[in-house]
Amino acid sequence: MPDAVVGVVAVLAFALAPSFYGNELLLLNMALYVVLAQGINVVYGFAGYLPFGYVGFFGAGAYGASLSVRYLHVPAPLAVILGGVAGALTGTVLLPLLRLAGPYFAITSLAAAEAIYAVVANPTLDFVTQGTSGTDLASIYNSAESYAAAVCLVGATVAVVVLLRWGNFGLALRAIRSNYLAALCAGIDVVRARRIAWIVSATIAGLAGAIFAWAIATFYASAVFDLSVSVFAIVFALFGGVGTTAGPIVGAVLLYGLYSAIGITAPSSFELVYGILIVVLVLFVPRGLSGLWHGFLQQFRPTKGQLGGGGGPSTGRLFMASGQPSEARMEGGEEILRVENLSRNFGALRAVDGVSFALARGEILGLVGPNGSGKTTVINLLSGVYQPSGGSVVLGGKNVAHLKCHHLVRMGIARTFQIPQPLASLTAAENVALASRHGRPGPMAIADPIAAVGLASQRDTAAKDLNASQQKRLDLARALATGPDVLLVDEMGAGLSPAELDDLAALLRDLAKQGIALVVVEHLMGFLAQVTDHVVVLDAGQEIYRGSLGDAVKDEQVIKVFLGA
Amino acid sequence: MRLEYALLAGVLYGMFYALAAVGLNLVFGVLRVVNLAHGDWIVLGSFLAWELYSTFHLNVLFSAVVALPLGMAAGFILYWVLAPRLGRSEDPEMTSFVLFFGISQIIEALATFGFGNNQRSLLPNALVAAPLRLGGQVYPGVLVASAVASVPLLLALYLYLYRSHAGAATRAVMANPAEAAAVGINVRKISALTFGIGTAAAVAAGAFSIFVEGGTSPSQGVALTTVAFAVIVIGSLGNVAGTVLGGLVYGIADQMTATFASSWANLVPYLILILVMLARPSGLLGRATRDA
Repeated sequence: MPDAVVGVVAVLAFALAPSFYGNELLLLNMALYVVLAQGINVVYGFAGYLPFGYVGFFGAGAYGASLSVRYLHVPAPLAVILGGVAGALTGTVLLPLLRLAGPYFAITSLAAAEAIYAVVANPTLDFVTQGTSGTDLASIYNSAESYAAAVCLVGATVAVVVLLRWGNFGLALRAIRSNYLAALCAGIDVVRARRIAWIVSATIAGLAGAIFAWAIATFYASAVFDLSVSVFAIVFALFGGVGTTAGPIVGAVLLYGLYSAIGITAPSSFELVYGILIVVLVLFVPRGLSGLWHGFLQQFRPTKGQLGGGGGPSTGRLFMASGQPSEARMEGGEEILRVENLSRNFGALRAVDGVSFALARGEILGLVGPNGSGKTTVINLLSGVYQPSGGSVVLGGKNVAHLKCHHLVRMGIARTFQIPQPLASLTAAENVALASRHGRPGPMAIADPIAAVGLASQRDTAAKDLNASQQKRLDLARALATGPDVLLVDEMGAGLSPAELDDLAALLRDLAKQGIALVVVEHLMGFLAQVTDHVVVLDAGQEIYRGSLGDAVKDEQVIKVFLGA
Repeated sequence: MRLEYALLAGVLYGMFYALAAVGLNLVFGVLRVVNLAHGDWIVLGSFLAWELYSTFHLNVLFSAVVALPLGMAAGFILYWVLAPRLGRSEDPEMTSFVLFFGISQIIEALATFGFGNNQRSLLPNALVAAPLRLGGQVYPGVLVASAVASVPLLLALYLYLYRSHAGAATRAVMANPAEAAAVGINVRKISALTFGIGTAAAVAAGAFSIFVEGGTSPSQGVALTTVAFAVIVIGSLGNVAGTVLGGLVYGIADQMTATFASSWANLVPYLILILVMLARPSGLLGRATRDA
C-alpha cells in the first residue's frame, strides 16, 4: 500500500537525517511538526473539527512529562507516555466542546488552550508548575534518545493515520463529514466516533509535547502554549492537504524548512509568507498540495472512471425484486411494531398528536395526508431523528421511543429520506458497506442491496455523481443494507418515472413478502395503490381515517382535508 | 469601596468593549462569518491614533473620527476582493474562517514591518489628562472618555439599523439572505456596506484601545479578537443590541477579577467564552440562531 511506504520513507528519512545534517534540534522540531500536522489531520481531516487550541494538548503533554519527572521521578520514556496521558486527559475534560461546530468550536478550543495556559503560567501556582520561572529538566535531558523517540512517534502517528484512512473507523468518520444525518441513519454512533478521533489527536499532541520537553533542558509555559504551534500545525496540514497520509508530512517538512531558513531570524517575514499562503490556499488550492498532485496525475490517466459511472441513464430494470422464492423468509402475522399515542410538539405547534398503529411482519402501511399533516414527522420520530414529546414506540416488545437514530438502526428500524441524503464523497458501494457494517447484526434479507435497487453498474461511482433518482435508490439500498425489520419509506415516489415507480412498487411488495414491515409515506396514490391497500390518513397531526385506500377516497373527511370544504 | 470601583470601572470598560466588538457581531450577522482579522483592525486603529498624535499632535478623538471613513473604505475593498470567491466553497463557513485567519496574519506581519514589534503607548494628554473623581474614587480620564465616546458611535449604529432603510435591509439580510434577495434587496451591496461599517467600528475602537489596553502592539490582534468574540457570544451572535449587554457583563467580570483576584484576570475572557458557549450557545438574549 503506497500509504505505508510513505510512512516508512518518512521514518527512515528522519532516522538517517542526523548523519547528514548537524542541527538535531531543528530536525526534532520538524519531526514534531510532522506529528502535530498529522494530529490536526486526524481531528480536522477525518472528524471535521479544526482546533485552534491544539497547542493546549502539546503544553499539557510537556507539563505532564515534567511534573511526573519532578514528583514521581519516573524515567524519561515513562514520562513521555504520561505526557501522552496528560494530553488524553485534557482531551477528555474538553469533550463537551465537541457539541460545538465549525468556527464556534475553533474559537472555543482556542479559549480552552488559553485558559489552561493562564492556569499553568499563573504566578500563584508557580511553585507547582514552574510555568513562569522555567521548568528545569536537565536530569533527564538526552538529545539522541529524545530524537529517537520523536522518530518513533512519527512512525506511530503515520500508522494511526493509515489505519484511519483505510480502516472501517476511518470510513465511518468520512461518512460523518460527508453527511451527518445519513451517517446517523446508517447506524454510525457519530458522537462516539468523533470522540475517539478527538482523544487520539489529543494523545498524539501530548506525546509530542512530552518529547519536546525531554529534548529541551529548560522550557517555559509561554513556549509550549504558544499559539503559533497550533497555527503552524494547521497551516502545515492544510498546505499538504488534509485527509491524506503524505500531505501533512510534506507540508510540515517543506514549510518548517522554509521557516528555519527565513523565519527564525525574521519571524514577521515568515508570518507574512504564511498569511499569504493561507489566503492563496483557501481561495485557489482548497485541497492543498495533495489536491494539486492528484489533479496533475489525473491528466495522464485514461478517463476510466467516467465510463462505468456518472449520472447517465441506467439500463435494464431499475429496481429488481430478488429472484428467490418469496416464501423463503415469510414470517407474516407476527406483530413487530406498535406505536401508541405518539406525539410531538414544536413550541405551541402539535405536529403529531396521538398517532397509534400496529404493524406486523410483512405488512405495508401507507401513511397519507396533505402537506404539513405530520407524515414526515412521524417518520422522523420512528427513526429517532426527533425525540417524541409523548407516547410509546414498541419494537419487538421493547419500548424504543427515546432511542437515538443509530441505536434504532441497530435494533432494526431503517429509513429513506424525502430529499435523498447520500454520503456524497463515498462511492455507492462504500455507502452500502458502511450501513451493513453498522446496521443490525445478522443476515440481510436482501443479499445485494445495490443490485436490488438497480445500481449494479454504479458501484464505484461517488454518490455525489449520481443523479437524483439514483441517489434515492442509494438511500433505499443503504436502508436495506442495515438489515431492517421495519423500513420507513418517506416519499420515494416523487420524481421517479412511471416505469421506475412500477419497479419500486414491485420491490417494496417483495420486501414485505420477505417479512419486513413497511411504512410508506406517499402522495402518489396510484403508486401507493400498487404497494398496499392499508392506509392511515393524517390531518393536523391526527388520524382521520384508517382502512382501505379504495374506501379512503370516498370518505367525506378525507375528501374535505384534501380538497377543502 | 473596592466593589463600587470595580463595578463602575467595569461599566466604563464594558462600553468600550461593546464598541470594540460590535463590528464583529454585525459582520457575523450578515455574512455568517467569524472575522478573525477583527482584532487586527483594532490594532491598526491604535497605530493610526499613535501616528496622528506623534506626528501632528492631533487629539485621539480626532483619530477616532478619521478612522470611520478609512475603516469603511478598507472593509469595502476587502469585501469586494474576497466575496466573489467565498460563496463557491464547499464549506463556506469554515473556509472563510480560515481565510480571515490568513488575513489576520498578513495584517499582523505588515503592522510589524511598519511599526516594529515593540509595544507603543500614549500619555493620557493625547486624549484627556484630567482624571475623574466620583464618590471618593479616581477614574482615569482616558477610560471615562473612551466609554463616553463609545456611546454616540453605538447609538448611531443603532439608529442606522432600526431607523434607516439601509438598516432595515441589513436586518432583513441577517434574518434570511435568500428571502431578502427575493424582495429585491441587493444582498451583495448590503453585505459590503456592513463589512465596511464593521471594520470602521473596529478601527475607531482602536483609537481608544491604546489607552484601555495600556498600549498596542501588532501581536495584540488575536487576544482582541477573542475578547470581542466572547463579548458578542455573551450578548447573542447576530444581535447587535445584545453586544452592549455582552460588553457590560464582560467588563464587570473582568474588573471584578482584576480587583479581587488579579493574577487570575487573564483567565476571565476565556472562561466566560467557554461557559457561555457550552451552557447557552445562543447568548444571554438569544433565540436559537440558525446554522449556529
